[in-house]
Formats: sequence, structure tokens, C-alpha cells
Amino acid sequence: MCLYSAMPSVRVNVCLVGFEAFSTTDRQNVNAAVGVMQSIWAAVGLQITVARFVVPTRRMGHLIAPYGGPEAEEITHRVAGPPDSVDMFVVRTLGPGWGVTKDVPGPCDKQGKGMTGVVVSLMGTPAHHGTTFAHELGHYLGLPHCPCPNPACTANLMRGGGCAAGSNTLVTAAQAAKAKVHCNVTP
Amino acid sequence: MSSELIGDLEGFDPAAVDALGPGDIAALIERALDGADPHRASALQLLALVDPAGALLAAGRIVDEGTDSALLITALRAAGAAGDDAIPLLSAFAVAPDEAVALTAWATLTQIARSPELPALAELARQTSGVVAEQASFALTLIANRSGATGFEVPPPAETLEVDFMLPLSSIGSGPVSDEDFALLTRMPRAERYLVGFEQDHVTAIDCGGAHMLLATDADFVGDVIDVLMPSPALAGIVASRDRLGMSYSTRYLVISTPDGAGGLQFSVHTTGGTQVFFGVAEVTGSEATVPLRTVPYPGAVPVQITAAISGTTISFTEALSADQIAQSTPKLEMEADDA
Repeated sequence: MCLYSAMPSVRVNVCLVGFEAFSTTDRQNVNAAVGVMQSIWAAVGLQITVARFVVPTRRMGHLIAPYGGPEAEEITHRVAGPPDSVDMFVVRTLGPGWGVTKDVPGPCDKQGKGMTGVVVSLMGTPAHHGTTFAHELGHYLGLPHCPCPNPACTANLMRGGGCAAGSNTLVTAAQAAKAKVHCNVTP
Repeated sequence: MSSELIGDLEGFDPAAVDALGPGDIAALIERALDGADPHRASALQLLALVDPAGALLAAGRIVDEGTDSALLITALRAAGAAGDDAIPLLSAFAVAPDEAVALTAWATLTQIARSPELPALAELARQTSGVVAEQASFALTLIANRSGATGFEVPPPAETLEVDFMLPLSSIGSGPVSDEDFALLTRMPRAERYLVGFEQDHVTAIDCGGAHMLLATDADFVGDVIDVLMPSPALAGIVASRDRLGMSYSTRYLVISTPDGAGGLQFSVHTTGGTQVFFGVAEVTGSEATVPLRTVPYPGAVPVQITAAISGTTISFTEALSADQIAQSTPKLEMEADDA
């Protein structure tokens, strides 16, 4: 007799913003980043299932290269993916910073007026893209920063708030437990 | 020092930016110009904050490299920090065949160009089409308003949304800005504030649904707000939004005012991309006015019912309600399946 125990999971809508401008290399980098993000979270027992979407430049205008948090947030005000999932908007360039999340945790109701998704970029090196994706998803699932001066945070995925996050991948058991109770996570 | 800043995922810590010395800035310029440095874009963004002339110099060289468009976009944004000196570079890319590059050029010109540039920019705008033409049109409108020029007025919207009192609503808070908050606001580079001048008594704090924002009317105008705005169109001010970490402000909305020809004053609030989001016609009495603002329909619009009182340089909300949800009549755009 086999007992099947499914891993908690969350659906992520990976959406290329201004997709026409994404080169083959850009798309390869996005695919690799998604793989890294899935690995990081799978290592602590959270399965990330991914659906692929795009929005064309004609619908977004200059928001395909947002500058500042409000422009990144406006992307999520204007566009939404299917319900019961996290919207992850990918832009090629963003500034300042490589990713934007607002509320921690992020909302599950995409009809609300908050930032209903995360915005991540291909800023930095390919080695950092996956950790950027995983870090911002971590915020959306309810994880705050692991503070820079704390030695315990040196290798943590959520290190941030005034320091380089590098290519950190560590998620603690406590962080994983917290992420798994987000309203978008299926137990 | 700059390596930690450049590698920060979510922006630049202001204290660390302040601590950058001449050696750090020289190193940033070097990194921005180093074709093998994977963090050139972040170096450029940081340079724009601490050394606009250096950012423009680096941007000019990157442009000459014929680099990939993502870096070019960052370079154009960074160049904008240099203000008027960046206009020729930005104008050269306003008709770039790459839409993303042209959109960024126009978005940056919107931030910094003034009326003497209008004829040349209007000519460039005529050479654009589609989404770039829309961005160019808004750029011309904003630049004209910034300078009080007529002929580019924003038309009133065909309709506005009404708040449904049967649905959940939230109050929008408003009040004076704190010293600390105002100090953070003033860190915004002048280009990113669309050349709007800041003084504390021209700033109103706004809290709405977890978002903390500051409405800043242009302190470069001398006199009471209404007296200054009545004669001609103007960029009356901006609404800046504080980031989650409390490290910076960025412009969220632009407030354009236009005399309506009948003794009233139209206020039109736009996103930085030009989407008209709120509109109202002020009832003016002497140097005071009452402005009822309503939401304009657009994808993802949230109805609001705001009444603002303007007196002297002070703006206060006498009524301010926001729906908790977007209007059913204005759903968000749907993502499209990626077939690639």
C-alpha cells in the first residue's frame, strides 16, 4: 500500500512584459531563473508550478521598462493572470533594484487595490536572476527581509534591505513554514 | 561600498549612497563603462543619483557602443538626471526603431524637457506611431503644461466612475508631512520629480490602503496655488509614493491643471505613462477652491470620491473615500498565453 503525500504547491504566472523585446537569450535566462526558483523552493517542500504568459508592448507603453516602484506596481494594477495564483511580471530592465514587491504578504484577491503580483527583472547576472525571482516570491508569500547585519542571514535567500543578496538560496524551516500558509498555497 | 549597493535587490540605501566618496564615484564610472562588468546597468543607476554629469558621460559612451537595448534603456534613464544637457541624446532616440528605446526616450523627455524644446519635439512626435506616438503626445502635453503653453490642453474625460456606497469603502487619510518624511522626499533627483520644486508647506501626506504618498504642489510657483494656476495650463504638482522599505520616493501621479474658460479650473491626474486616472473641475472663490475628484475609467480603475480644499499653499481633503476593489466595469487586462 502506498501513501501519497503531495507537496504544498503554489501556481505562479510568469508573464513577460513587452514580450516582443525579449531576445532568445533573454527567454533562456527567464527559463533558467524559473528553474532556479523552483529548485530553491522545492528544497524546502514547496512546489512551484508555472504557467507562461505575455503582455504586448502596445498594452503597456513605457511600463515595459519601469523606473521606480510606482511604475512597477502599475503593471499589476493594469494586468492580472488567472485567480488563485501569484502573478510574476518579468521585465528586462528595472530601476533602481532588480525586483519589486509591495505588501508582505501579497494579496490573494487580484480585484483589490494593492500590488497584486511581483515584478522581477533580468538585471544583474544570470546567476542572480533565479534568486531574484525566488526572493520576490518569498516576499509575496509573507517573508520579510533577513536583516543585513545578522550573521545568520549571510546565506539566506531573503537577505536584504541595504546589502547585496548575492546568489543566496538558503530558506530556513521557519521561513518555509510561514510561506506555506499563504492563501495562494495549496496544502 | 558601491558593490554592496549595486547588488541590493530592491533599491539603494540612502545612507550608503550618502557615504559614497569621490573614489567610489570614479569606480562607478569605470564599472558603467566596462563592457565586461555584468552590473553596468546598476552602476549607471547609482551614478545618476550621485553624479548626473558622470551618468550622462557614461550614457553617451554606452550609446556609441551600439549596445543591447536593455542597457541602452537604462543609459537613457540615467542620462535624464543631467537635465537639459541630456535633451540632445534623448531626442536622438525618440524616433528609434526599437519601440522600447523610443518609449524610454519620450518618458525621460517628459521628465525634463521645457517649452523651448517643444517645436523640435513636436516634429519628432510626428514621425512616431502606435504606442510610441501616444507616449510622445503625453510628453508634449506635459512639457507644454510645465511651461504654461497653450494648445496641448487635456480634454475632460467622457465619463467618470461613481463610488458605490453598497460596496466596501476605505477612508483616505491626509495631513501635514513630517520633517523626516519631507527630507526623504527631497532626496528625489530633480528629473524624477518632473522638475517640480519642493517646499514643506506645499506638501500634503496621503495614506490610502497601505500606500503612503505625498502630494507636492510646485513650490517654484510664487504665491497662492490658485492665483498661480488660474492664468494658464500648468503642471501643478506630483504625487510621490514611498517604497516598502521606506528608502525612497518615486513619482506615481502627475497633476495637470487647466483653466476652463468659465472661471473654473480643471484638474487632471495622470500616471507617469499618461493614463488619465482622476479628474475634477474646481469651484474657485478668490484664492480658494474646492475640487471634487473622481476616477476616470481605465483597466483596473478603483473608484474614489475626493473633495479637496485649496487655500494658500495648503491642500486638505474634506472628503476622501476609496473603493476597496476595482470597478466591475473596468476589469484589469488579461495576460495572453505565451505561445513561444
